[in-house]
Amino acid sequence: MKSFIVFALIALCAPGVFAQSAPKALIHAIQKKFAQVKDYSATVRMEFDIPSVRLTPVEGDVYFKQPDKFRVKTEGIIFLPKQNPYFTLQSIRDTNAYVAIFAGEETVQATKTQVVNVIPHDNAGELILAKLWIDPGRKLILKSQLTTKTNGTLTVEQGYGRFQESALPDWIRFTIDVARFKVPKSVAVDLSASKNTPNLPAKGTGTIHLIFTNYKLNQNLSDAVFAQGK
Amino acid sequence: MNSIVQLRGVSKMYGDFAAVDGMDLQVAKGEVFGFLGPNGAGKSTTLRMILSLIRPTAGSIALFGLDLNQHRNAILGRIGCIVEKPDFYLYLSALDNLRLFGQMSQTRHLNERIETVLHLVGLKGREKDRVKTYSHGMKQRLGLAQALLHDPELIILDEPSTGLDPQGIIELRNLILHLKNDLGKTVILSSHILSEIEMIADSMVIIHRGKAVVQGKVSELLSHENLQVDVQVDEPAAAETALTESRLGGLILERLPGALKLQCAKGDIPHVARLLTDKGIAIFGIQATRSLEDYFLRITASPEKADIMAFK
Amino acid sequence: MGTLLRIELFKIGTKPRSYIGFAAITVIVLLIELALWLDGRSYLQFILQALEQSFQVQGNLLNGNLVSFIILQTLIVQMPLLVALIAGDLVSGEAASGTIRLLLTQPYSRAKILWAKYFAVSIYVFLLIFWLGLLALGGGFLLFGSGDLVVLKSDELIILKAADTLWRFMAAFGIAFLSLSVVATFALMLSCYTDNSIGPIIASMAVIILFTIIGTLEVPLFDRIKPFLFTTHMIVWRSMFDQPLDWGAILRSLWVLVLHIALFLGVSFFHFTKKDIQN
Repeated sequence: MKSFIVFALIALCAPGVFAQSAPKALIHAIQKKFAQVKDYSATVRMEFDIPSVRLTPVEGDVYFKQPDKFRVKTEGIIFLPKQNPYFTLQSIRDTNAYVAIFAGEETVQATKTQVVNVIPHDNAGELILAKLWIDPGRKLILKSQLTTKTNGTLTVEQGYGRFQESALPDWIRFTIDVARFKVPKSVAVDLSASKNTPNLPAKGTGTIHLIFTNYKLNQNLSDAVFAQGK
Repeated sequence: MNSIVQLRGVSKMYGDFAAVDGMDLQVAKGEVFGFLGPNGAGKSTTLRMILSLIRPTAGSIALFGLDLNQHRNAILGRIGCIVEKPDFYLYLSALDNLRLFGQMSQTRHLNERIETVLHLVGLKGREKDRVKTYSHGMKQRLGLAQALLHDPELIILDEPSTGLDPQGIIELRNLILHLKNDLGKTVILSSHILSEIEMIADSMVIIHRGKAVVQGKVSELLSHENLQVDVQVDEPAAAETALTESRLGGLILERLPGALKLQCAKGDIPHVARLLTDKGIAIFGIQATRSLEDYFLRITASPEKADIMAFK
Repeated sequence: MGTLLRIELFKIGTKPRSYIGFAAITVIVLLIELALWLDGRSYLQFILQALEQSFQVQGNLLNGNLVSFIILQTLIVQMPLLVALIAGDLVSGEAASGTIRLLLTQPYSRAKILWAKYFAVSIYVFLLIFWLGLLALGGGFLLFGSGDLVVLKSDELIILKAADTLWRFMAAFGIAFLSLSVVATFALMLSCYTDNSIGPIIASMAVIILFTIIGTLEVPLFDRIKPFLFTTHMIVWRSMFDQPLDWGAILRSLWVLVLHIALFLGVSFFHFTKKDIQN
């Protein structure tokens, strides 16, 4: 199955196919850039647009520590993607573990990006397929589309500013497939007058927008900061 | 007469049925006034109209010289009453009930008044018991205590002796007389028992089919000067002739089979007996009843058949 | 009026049945809190399972606010019955026991006596809601702590900030008070028309149940009459937990509730002040 996908992608991208080493080198450069950040903390504002869920923006703090510790600390309830924002980079840390195929160029955030498809060799991991939109000049991933085993498709778009040298985004927008929320009225003890709600589709997409400020890098964060949640 | 209660043309209609029909009534200050009538005659309805529990369809009611419609609250503040039967909050003690009604009637020196009325009705010592543990007689006493609590000028008691034992009835009678004689209260008392009214009332009214058929002083209405006498004889026709030929002919009311019915004073009976004996007419028996008593017994026994006009 | 009100409160306070409501609320609230304490997380997992396939939900979901909200929406359905138990007995109970004769021969106008009864039952309703609030919020926060409120709807989740919930609960309790006042005045009105104690209580309960069923059934025929049923507007307290708040709908419902109170009180006063006491 996997070899069929590889074959199909190669066939699709055949006219502009690069040598595999070029996209891998690009990815490696990004990895290296990001590796300079041992840890960081920042202030985050989260905005949600999830079908059937009304949640006002939340502010809090985020903490990250290499290689994969990540935590958002807020006062109240928040919805987060199941994968942390660096899931892509973590999944492709080992450049021998996947195939990277150049798949053309596209403009993202008014920047010409190289599209790279990443297919892991090992099918035991969570990631099945990743499509990355990479700014080759700044060596930054502007967008990624991840197909995962258990959580469907996840699109992550990132915008950079002051901390682009460390590959740390000013904002990240997750777009996630969401099953429509529906429970029986009796379970929710919902007595509200019946509304003639239109028959909404069973599935939709939700977005979570994280806006980062006040980055503080390499403070030698203790593991205790990540004791709860990931 | 210094009237404390005055009813003029008071009626209460329920559809076409007149529960009270053009009632005129006066109760003088300081007297015990008896409301007499069979069950369903309209006594209770009349009393309830006086207490503003029922609105009259027509007529006017005045108490203490004030119109009931316009001065209802002021009037009710001067009345104590038991209507029909003494009902209380059963889940409360007698003391709590008295406190509650005492506060409502704005009784001054309430605790002292409660003590006084409890002594008066003989419930001292049982006042902390819940009313639901009381016998009917005790409730009746408590009803009296409540009626007297705010020291009212007029006390209205609707069938107060119902359910009392003989001793209780005597005590009640004495209490009513005490209220009148010693405390100068006016008492309106309703009953369907003539003797009860006769024993304590100064004035009375007989109510029948919603009308006041007889009203006046008890001493006059129940006088021995106005008796109905049945003289049982062997020859009623001969007896009638004998009496007609004498000066006693005017006493004859009617001739009955085996008897003559007369209306006369107590003192006329020996003359009648002597005249009939002299004429050789055999007398088997003489039965004398007071006219009013006779009338009342008839309407009580069979109210439908009794004719109001028959008495008049 | 103060004396009459005190007396009416005293009567309510000394009647054993007045405590049924408080006892029922206490038992039900504690049971719900215990059940949620033991199994609340499973309940939430069941409700959120669709969303948890896509997201990790972070934060204390099972908190005092959610517990209070669940208690409120479970109990407010039952509370009209508890209120009817007292309000339905206010006048007819006096008639049944015969005390109405004594009451109405006291030197107070009938209107004042009825006002006193209305205010007394309103205070009872207030205390009932206060007790519910105290147990729900107090017990909820004590056992489950604070946190954002997840408002459960059958097709939607609204998450309200913890700091944004207390005033909403207070407003919801206020609206619940108004709703239960409609029930109280309705039962009081029926109570003015009968001389037996149990009739108005049963009749009030029956009407509330009937209206609630009509309001719940998704039958087009009923859709036309739903806006005119007071029970339709009694659940408007829940709208205080919407985001954004639909003030138009809330105020409209409040008006309908107030109009119902005025109507029921008006009929009660009209009848009670003219009623012949014959029992």
